Parts: sequence; C-alpha cells; structure tokens
Amino acid sequence: MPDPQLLSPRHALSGSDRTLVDLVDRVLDRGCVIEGELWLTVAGIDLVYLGLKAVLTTPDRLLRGEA
Amino acid sequence: MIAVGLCRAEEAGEFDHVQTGPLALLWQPDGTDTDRLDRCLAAQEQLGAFLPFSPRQAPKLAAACDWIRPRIAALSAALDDLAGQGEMLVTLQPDTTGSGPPSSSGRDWLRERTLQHARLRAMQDCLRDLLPGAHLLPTSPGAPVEATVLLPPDLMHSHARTLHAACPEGVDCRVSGPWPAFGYAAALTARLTEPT
Amino acid sequence: MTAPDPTQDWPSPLAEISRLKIDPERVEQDMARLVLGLMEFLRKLMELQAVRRMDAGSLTPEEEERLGLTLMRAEEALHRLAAQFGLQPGDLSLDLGPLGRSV
Repeated sequence: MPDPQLLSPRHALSGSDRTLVDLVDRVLDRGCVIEGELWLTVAGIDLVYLGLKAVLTTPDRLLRGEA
Repeated sequence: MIAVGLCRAEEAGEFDHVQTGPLALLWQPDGTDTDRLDRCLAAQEQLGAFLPFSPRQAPKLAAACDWIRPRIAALSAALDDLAGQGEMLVTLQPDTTGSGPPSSSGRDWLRERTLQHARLRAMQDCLRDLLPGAHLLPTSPGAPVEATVLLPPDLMHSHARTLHAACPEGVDCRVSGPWPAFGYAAALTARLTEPT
Repeated sequence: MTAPDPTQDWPSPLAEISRLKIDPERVEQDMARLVLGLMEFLRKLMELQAVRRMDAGSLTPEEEERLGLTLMRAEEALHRLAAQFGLQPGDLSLDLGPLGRSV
C-alpha cells in the first residue's frame, strides 16, 4: 500500500528543480566567482556553447572592498 | 554500451553485466537519460547493494571498466556500506498555492516573502535535528532545501511521518525514496577520481 | 571547470552540460523561454537579495514599499509575458548544468 507521506522515486520524478539562481544567491553572501554552461541546441544541432563566468557580489560588500 | 552502476557479482543475475573481480558492472544499450534512470531504479529495487552512476553522465562501458579496475577494493567497501540501504530525499520549499489574496502594498508583499523564507529556515533546522546524518545540498534562503540521507527503506516511512508532522503551514515538504544512492555515489566517485 | 567536450568518455562528476533546445517548429516559444528565463533569473536574484536586506533591517519603510511594489509588479509582468507565449512560471528556470539539478 503506498505511503502518502513517502513518495516512491518513480512517483516523485516529476518533482522539484534546483536552479542556478539559488546557488548564485548563496554565493552572493560572500561574493564569489561562479561558472555555468549551457548548449544552445537549434533544430537538434548543438550550435552555441555558452560558458558563463561572472564575479558576483552585492553593493555593500563591493564598497567595503570585500568582493 | 553505457554503464549504469555497480553491484556484487553474485547478485547481478538477470541484469546485463560484465564481471570485474568481485564486482559486476551493469550496462545497457545506448539510450536516453531516462532509460538509464529507469534501470538504476530497477537495480535499487531488486539488488541487495547497488552503487549507481549518475544517469546524465554515465560513462561508456570500456571507460568504466578501466576506471573500476584499480579501485576494486574501495568500491567493494562502498557496496558493503550501501547494503540494505537507499537514499531518502527531503525537499522543502515555500508553499505558494495556499497564499491568500494578492498583497495590497509592496511592503506587505515583501514581508510575506520574508516570512516564507524564515519558515523555510526553521524547517531546515528541524531537519538537521531529526537526521543529523543528512547531507544538505547547497541552497539559499528562498530556494528549495534539499537533503539526502542514507537509510534502510523501512525507516523512511517513520521519518517521513515525523517530518510531515513537524512541517509548519506555508512550507511544502516532500519526502521520497528509497532512491539509488546518487548522492553517496557522486561523493565517492569524485573522491576516487581525484588525481593523486 | 572541465572543457566542454560532450563526447568525453568519463566526465568528472560535475561536468554535465545542459541543453536549451530551440526547435524549428516552435521558435517563438523557445526564444521567449531563453529571454524570459534570463529575466526571471535576475528577478529572483533581486527578490532574494531584498529579503536578505529585510532580515538585516537595513531598509526604511519607504524603501521597503518601493522595493516590494517593484518586485511584485516585475513578477506579475513576467508571468503575464510568459503566459502570452504559452509558458508556465516553471518553464522559466534555465538549467545551466553544473550548478543546476543534481540528479
């Protein structure tokens, strides 16, 4: 009998996402270099590779020279 | 042919596999990520101990064999660790479906969001208290909190009940399992792959 | 970070690379997803940072009102735009690989 409080993996597979923005926000706390990558696939063909490299920080840390 | 994971040679039975010492490397014909995930779930359900490769980055069979050969002792020990266990995955996030009427002022809206994030943090503390061995995946305020913990499947039901009971209003708690030990395996393969 | 070689035999555990597919049959929707996804990414970043400022108590009531109102409207606007292209809010999360989903 299925337990409504414990989803089986097969049932849960349509589940939640974890995305870049979440991680970026976490690193914003310190200011940090992040990298991400993504293929833009056009009509089934890998056309453009996007390598994202960014130094992210918040204004208060930038002003204090902590970036 | 793509490798999907490792088990003990004597348990491999009906799964397509090649034997490497005491280990069996399970494989399947080239397919999609979903096919491999499916095979991992079946292996987890049917085998006493299973060490999965991530379905989205599974190695080719030959490369996997080369990688395994010098690491047989460590991988056998890992299978002993995993015997009779699976991973339970806990996901906590703000429940926005039950939120009331739209905020009339910007301040109210921002306060509501701030409250959501505070509730989530509280639930995260609760999770840490209940399952000190849980591995919290990197996250941030406002993002879903995800944690994995290696457990015998029987225990997962009672932990799921406890977590749901402790979950405050405004937080959506999802508990799922038993998963193949993807988290454990990722940490292990990273450790064993580091250049020495 | 590992070189972007999708054909390598044994990628490092973090080397998976996602694909954003632009399909000839649904160019408008796919392009909208790319652009709106980037906008949603920045909007969430701003919201989360605003919450952090709230927690720190570093905002005046007027700033709270202005910031909240702007973020609230930005969210509404973005969701409205997405709906025009037949996209749900959930369609706007771009999966950028190593920092994205774990399984």
